[in-house]
Amino acid sequence: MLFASEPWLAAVVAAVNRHPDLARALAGLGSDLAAVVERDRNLFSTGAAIWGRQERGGIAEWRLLEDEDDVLELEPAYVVRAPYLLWKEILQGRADPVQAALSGRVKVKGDLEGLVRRSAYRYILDEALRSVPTEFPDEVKR
Amino acid sequence: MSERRKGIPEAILEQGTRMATRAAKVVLDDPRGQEAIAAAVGAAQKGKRKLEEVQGRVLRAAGLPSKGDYDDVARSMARLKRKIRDLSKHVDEGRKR
Repeated sequence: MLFASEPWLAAVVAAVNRHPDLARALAGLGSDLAAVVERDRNLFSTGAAIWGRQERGGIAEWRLLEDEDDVLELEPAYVVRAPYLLWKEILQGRADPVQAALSGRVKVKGDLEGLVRRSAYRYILDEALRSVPTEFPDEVKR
Repeated sequence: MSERRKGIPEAILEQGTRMATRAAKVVLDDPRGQEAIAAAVGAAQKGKRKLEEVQGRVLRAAGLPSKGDYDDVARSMARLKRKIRDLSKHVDEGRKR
């Protein structure tokens, strides 16, 4: 499935929602989050923005945003933004998301403290991502 | 052509970055380290918010727009952009009928 496409996102959300530890990981966090994949002129020219809302310990709603600027109107509790290649490294397990956020390579708007406190639950997302076969746009084009 | 050899400052920086990354990983893998980093991040974010509040007050007192004002404008622009997009879709659908 193509990274940041609707089927890919649906599969990742379904896998995350299946995890028994998810409710514990989400408890006390803000209600919604947007993730922005910044455009890369050569490798991922469209960029992508994703929004999701949690409710009762699961991801209740999500969508791919038509325009990155929609994030400004939605004003989610968290906005996580990084260049395409860094997202790819994180998804492939070659970069650590918490370290990347602390070093400023991943820009986080919102309560970073709360996210760092829950970094031990990172395996939920890691397992979900591993369960979804991901094709990256720059590799598909070749 | 042979690859340019790294200078001493670059080598030190590279080594330092590697060591810092290793240290950060060790700290983050330990729950106490995680807690300490979270508390430090929280304090830094609180400090930044406070600074922005003061900056905003100073700028407003001087009759200048603050970061908050720019954010409001950006939000309004985003809303307008989305409404135009929605309207365009309606118009296109109307034309197709």
